[in-house]
Amino acid sequence: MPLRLLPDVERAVVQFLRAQTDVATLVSQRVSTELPGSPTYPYVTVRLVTGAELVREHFDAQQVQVDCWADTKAAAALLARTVRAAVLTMRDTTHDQSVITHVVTLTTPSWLPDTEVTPPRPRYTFDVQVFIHIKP
Amino acid sequence: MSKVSVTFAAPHENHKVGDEVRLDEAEARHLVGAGVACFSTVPDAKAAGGDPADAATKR
Repeated sequence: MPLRLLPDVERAVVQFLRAQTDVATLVSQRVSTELPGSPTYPYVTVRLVTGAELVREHFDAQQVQVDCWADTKAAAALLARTVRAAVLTMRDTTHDQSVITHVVTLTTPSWLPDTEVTPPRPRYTFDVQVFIHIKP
Repeated sequence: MSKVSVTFAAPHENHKVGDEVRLDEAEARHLVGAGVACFSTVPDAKAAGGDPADAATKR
């Protein structure tokens, strides 16, 4: 019997954001699950943090963290608000491998500069919960 | 008419996402067809004449 692979929520969110005009205006196609080695800013990263199974091998609630990086605090804030608005429109959308039935904000965009670099890189972060099931 | 179990995939009336309820087959088919709910198991999907691909595998 073939395995039932649950959808890759990071892939769905990244592909969706890259296709949104309002997001692409700010970051072009610079949306991925990790920062590249020498990134060009602004940049958006999408990471699956945790999740829960709601229907066995079919329907999950996935928590996704979105980090929005830019050269200035104002630009990072605008980017975060834009990306959050875009992600919330994923409700009731069909993707190549999945259906996203609902999206809710878990934490609103928060100021979290990246202090691993000098000077600290402006960054806002927020979390959403994405309800996703296998595309029938 | 027999009852089948569905799990809500989107908020609907008084139900939250993830709520599991037992409904008449016709109502279950309607909600699943509208994308509001998933059949909770393959047997329930088959009982309602639905697509088992839209349900969990047999528990």
